[in-house]
Amino acid sequence: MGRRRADGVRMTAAAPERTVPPYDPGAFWDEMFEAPGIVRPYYATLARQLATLNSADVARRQRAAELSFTVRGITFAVNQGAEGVEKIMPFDLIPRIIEADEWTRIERGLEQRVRALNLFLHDVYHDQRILRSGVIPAELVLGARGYRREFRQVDVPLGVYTHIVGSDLVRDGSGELMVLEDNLRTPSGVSYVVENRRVLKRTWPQLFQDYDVRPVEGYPQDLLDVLRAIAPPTAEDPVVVLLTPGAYNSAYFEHAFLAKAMGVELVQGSDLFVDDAQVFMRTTEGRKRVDVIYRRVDDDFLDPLTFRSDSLLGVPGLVAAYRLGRVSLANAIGTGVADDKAIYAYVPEIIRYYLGEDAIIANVPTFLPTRPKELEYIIENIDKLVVKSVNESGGYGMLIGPHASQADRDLYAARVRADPRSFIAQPTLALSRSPCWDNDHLEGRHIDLRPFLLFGREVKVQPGGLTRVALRNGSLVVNSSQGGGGKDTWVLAGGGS
Amino acid sequence: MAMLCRVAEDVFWMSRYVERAAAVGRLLDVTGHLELDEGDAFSRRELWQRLVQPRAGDGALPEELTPASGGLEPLAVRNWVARDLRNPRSLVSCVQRGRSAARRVRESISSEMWEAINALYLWLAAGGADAALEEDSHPFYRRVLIETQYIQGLADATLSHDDPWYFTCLGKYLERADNVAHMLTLQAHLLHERNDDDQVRWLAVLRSCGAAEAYARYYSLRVDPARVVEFMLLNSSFPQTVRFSLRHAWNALQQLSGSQRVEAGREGVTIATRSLGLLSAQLEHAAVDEILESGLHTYLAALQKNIARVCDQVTRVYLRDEPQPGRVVAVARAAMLMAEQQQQQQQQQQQQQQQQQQQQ
Amino acid sequence: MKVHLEHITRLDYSTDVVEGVMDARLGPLSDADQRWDVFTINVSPSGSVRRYTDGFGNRAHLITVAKAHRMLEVVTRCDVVTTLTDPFSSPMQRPRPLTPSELADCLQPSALVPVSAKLAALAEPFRPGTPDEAFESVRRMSKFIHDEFNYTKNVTTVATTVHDVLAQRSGVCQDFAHLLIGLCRSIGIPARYVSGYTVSGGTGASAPMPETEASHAWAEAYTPIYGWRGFDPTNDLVASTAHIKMAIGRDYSDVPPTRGTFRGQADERLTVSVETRQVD
Repeated sequence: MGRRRADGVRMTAAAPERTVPPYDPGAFWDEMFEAPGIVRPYYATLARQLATLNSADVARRQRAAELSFTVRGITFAVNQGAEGVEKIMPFDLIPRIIEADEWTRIERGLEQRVRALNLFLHDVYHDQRILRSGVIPAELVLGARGYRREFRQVDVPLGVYTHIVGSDLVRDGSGELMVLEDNLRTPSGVSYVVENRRVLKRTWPQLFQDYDVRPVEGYPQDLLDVLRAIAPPTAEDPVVVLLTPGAYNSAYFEHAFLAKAMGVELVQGSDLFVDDAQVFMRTTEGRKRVDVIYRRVDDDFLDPLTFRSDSLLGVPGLVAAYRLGRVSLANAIGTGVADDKAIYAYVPEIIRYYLGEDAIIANVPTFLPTRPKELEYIIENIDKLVVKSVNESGGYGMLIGPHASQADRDLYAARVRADPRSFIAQPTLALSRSPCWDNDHLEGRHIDLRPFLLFGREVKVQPGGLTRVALRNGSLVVNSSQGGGGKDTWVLAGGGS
Repeated sequence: MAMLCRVAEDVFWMSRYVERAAAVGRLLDVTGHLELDEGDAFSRRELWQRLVQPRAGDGALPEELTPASGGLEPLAVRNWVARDLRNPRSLVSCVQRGRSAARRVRESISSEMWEAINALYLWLAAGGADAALEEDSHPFYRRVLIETQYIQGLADATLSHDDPWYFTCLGKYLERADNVAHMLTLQAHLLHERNDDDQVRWLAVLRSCGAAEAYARYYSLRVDPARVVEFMLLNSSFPQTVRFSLRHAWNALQQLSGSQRVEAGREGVTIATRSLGLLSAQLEHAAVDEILESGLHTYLAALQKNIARVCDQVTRVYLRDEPQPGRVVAVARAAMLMAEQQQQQQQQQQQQQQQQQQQQ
Repeated sequence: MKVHLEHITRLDYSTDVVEGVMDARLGPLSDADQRWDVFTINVSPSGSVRRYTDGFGNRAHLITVAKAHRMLEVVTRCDVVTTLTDPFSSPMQRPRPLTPSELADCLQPSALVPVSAKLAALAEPFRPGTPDEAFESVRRMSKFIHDEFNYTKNVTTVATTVHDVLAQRSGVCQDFAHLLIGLCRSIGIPARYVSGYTVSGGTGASAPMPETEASHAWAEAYTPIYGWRGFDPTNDLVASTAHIKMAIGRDYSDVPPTRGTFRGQADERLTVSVETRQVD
């Protein structure tokens, strides 16, 4: 038995039964341990269970979990276009726990952020007050790759542009939660939130016994509500479909998962056509009207008549039908301007401009090479910074200064100088760590968190989120395309544990 | 309930591939069994050679399997039919293609079905066939047979009996009718060159269709070629016969084409239902003596051709809208038009090639 | 000037096609210098026509013919009144300053007018000393293009960029418009693309070349004194009553008169005929 303290649980060496597993939190902010041997209170029950584990038992559950993912085809394609390279996302059995109070703050912070960003989107596609006022440079917004002139002056249903959002949150060395980036186009990963929970419940039900964990399974139904809410007013019983690029897309499993859970058709561009500004799908009984499209296809490929004419994924005439208000899209077109990595640096100002509030969740400090002083700072300190390409994602096009070779640093410095608009730089964060099972013991690994938010008539944050883990020891890259894995994320019901 | 044409097409083919995998497995099993009764290498080889008799629409055999390469070794033939991915009709190919189709429509079939077909695929992909074939092939074929039947059982038990299910029925029974006709074709020559082994060979035909027990129970007689042909073609109650299969395929198609549900102006629907109805009716009223008199080979060839035609009509009506898909982006100047059309045509060709590969 | 206008776009297919979709930017466009009256658009075989406003403020039409067809014909007719008789006289009111969007659209590179060091070097000698000289600069650049580049059909396509035009020193009206736009943007003068028609017998420095097709393209540049004015490098003209605007964009790719798709395995043949007739 241990001696309970206000802020943790301390173990004595003479305890008859171990209540804390052996673990070295290192010099990082650890999700489970506030200091070596001291577990955060809401992790205490879990820690007690982990302390008595034997590796054979964990290995058995690990295998069962992996088998479950494999057989049910919960996979992503690593190289798009080729068949046979479906991989499961590595799954770590130890859940990540978030207290009710902290979660409330996350919910408020995300809601504030997404409301401000939607006002921003409406503004930059209409009157452009924020550009005229000089809060954010016009050329930065209007020159962004994600800005779609074709979509100016469209009034979207409910005034909402981003119905599905998956912002990435990280904790720095002090434990402070910050937004690392906003994903406002077609964020993926929510199916893993639901599946990770399902698999953990099956393979290790005992873990849940003494916790009141908020369920995540309601997401598809909430999503369906949002999609129906944004249907054109003319549609009485709206028909919703999910548009996928196809079975070779890396997130195809998720598309199928969501379509099935919502009971809507999973369509490809070639299944749809436009007649009289109305979208129809081709069925065995002839044409059938479509009112709302949850599209998991990028703007560029939506409509060969408006965007890339070589796209066979899209639907000719779709953008015109959308402008005419005869079909609704989620998310709207052109939302990429608001999750542009350079515009990200202005989000705190954007929140202040539209809502008159300070950001509840902070940004990661960001240096923009388009500002001459910051450019010089970046070049001088490139060995301490993370340099990111504005137009790439998934952990690609990125330099992690402290881990990079001098040649790579020089290369990036030259690139940044040559094309300042295409890069940003941030301090290298000491991302928080969470214990992960490694063969026969617990090891700290860096993690982040991608909560999913729905915005229809109101904002609703799914109580959970995808905790991504950099499984390689010391690595800071959590992207699944770069060898990252996942954990189940527990949001505790009110009052804490 | 209406379903997407593309989804219907994949469900139809998924079902065909599963049925085909079962048929190929049975044929291999029976041939392996029969081989043990053959005394000399020549007869064994001859036995296996039948398995690579070309079928309409199949590509050429690889070099090592052409007669020019010095005759077909049983082992080479077995590998080609069982697991060679270059052979679109090999057992492993069928499972792989069936699984690809299932993956594309996983939201439209039950999770149970998807998981069952995925598990079979994963087992084979992990080398299940290779290991089993090196040692004892019978348990391998048996497992494939049981798993494919399990998948078919799940279709009946876990899908709503509406459109997607009718498409699985349509695919399964058309495929089965075609396979039985093919099995009979392989042995049709025995009718002319009777010898001592006939008894065994005809029994093998029944086994290849999983029909030996049913035959015995039905006739309670020695295995007789004419009776075997009669049973496999014309028996109305055993589910592995051509007559049974075509009747059930026709039922499924009738359910799908319920006239009030289908958009006006799609005459194709009636055409497909009519040809399948006619074909089914022919089998309902045929007599085996007449068939044998007119020549079994000729009869079976016509039958297979008719089945293929029905498949073609079904595909055209339900699965792809006429005319053939293809897109051309046209812009307002001649030079651009030509360049784009060339590009589009190339893309179309590539797409068609892919589709053909997927479906053969 | 009052002009009657008839524009026929016809697509013939070698075999039946379905689901024809056409996005058309064929007008009407009314502004301070022109007014489109009694605009009609007819489609045969019968299909649907939906008018909408695109992201650049142009009137556009989404035309669809779902059933099988071998021919698609779109006919627009209208009477246009043009009023800009003297493009050289400065407007009564000071032109409205450009919005951030207009500035960005007309100064930043676009798909067919990308950044080009060569273009910048060519434009440099024309850089206006004071903003008031900008109008004259554009005129001189327009004349430069007219004098130095050959009007040659069939050497360029709708995808030709200014890079290609600079390399081969020839092209058609659309290429010259792109070139002038690129030159203007290089020296900080906002410029945009106009798709439209010309009518013989207009006023201005001289009448347009008779060989020029009736469907035409030129550039508009914004100068502080005159506001937007059209410059036609193909004819070395400043646009006046003989130039009728149909749609405006950053370059051709924003405003092709028609753009479309169909489903089917057919060859497509496009014919366009335009008739402009001065009514009074």
